[in-house]
Amino acid sequence: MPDAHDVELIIRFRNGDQSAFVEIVLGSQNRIYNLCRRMLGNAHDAEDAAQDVFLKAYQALSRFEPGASLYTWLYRIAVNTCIDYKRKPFLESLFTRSDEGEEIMIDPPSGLPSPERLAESKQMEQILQKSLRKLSQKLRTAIILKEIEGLSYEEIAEVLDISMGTVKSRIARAREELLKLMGEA
Amino acid sequence: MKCAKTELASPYIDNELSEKDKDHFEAHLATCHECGARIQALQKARSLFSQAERYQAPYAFMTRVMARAAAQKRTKVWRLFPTVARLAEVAVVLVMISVGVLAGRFVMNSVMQQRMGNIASTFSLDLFDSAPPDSVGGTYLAMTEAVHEQ
Repeated sequence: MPDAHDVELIIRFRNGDQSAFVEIVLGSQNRIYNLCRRMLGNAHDAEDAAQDVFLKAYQALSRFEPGASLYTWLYRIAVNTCIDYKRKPFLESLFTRSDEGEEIMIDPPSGLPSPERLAESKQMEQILQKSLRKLSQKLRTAIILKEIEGLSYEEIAEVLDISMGTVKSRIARAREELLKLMGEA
Repeated sequence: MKCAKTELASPYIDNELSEKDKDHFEAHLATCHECGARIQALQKARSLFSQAERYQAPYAFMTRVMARAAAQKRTKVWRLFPTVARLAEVAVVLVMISVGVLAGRFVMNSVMQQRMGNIASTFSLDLFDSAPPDSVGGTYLAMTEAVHEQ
């Protein structure tokens, strides 16, 4: 369902008000960046892809049907952008490999937790990211949209343009896979 | 043998079952150890995500997006320029050709009219208008008159 504020922003943008698009970016940049970060696994690719998402939205917003939800539309662009994203070659040098051959990007910490908390959260984060990487793209996308972005099954179906039954099935299978990876199945 | 209702465990924890299905499943959970264990395992998997970091967009992200959008817009307008310039070129050439043709026709008409007049006067004979004395016809007439007189 379209939000009244979103509809107002779209109308303003179509009337040439660039500040409307600024508001759209500011209101959704964290969600879109977070999704790209989870799907692509590192900060540089995520920022690159997230910028591409908003540029595509900028070009297509004049054709957007206000009847649809702006956020699910942006999520759809983000998912497709991440699926099609190809890492630029020079960025390969910014990655290091773990003992298991997993690519790891060194990111600056977002806050100042205690060293123990930081170590624990880093470890959990690595376990999560490592597990997500081992899922197929379809399962990874579905579970990220559900567990990290908090979308409903209906919203996920709209974003991915699949049926509710397929959403239910992919999320269940993703969880099965994660449980196996965690040794809990 | 795996309980057939374990497939409901995932949508159940997502609160995506209908009220009727939810009531039936909860009644089933009370008696099915396997489904109960499945729910616990799924909750554990979910806890991994609940502790996941929520990444924030980098500093000045919006500024970079708007700068790229503006640059893309400028490139689009600039890309049109060669086409517009080429069309203008063609239009100017066509106008010049048209003006040249029209001017040429005008000049030719005037010159031809004048020449035709000159030709008529130069080659006029006594059968048509009277020949001017300095014309070929006039000279011929003068010569023939002289011969007649003789």
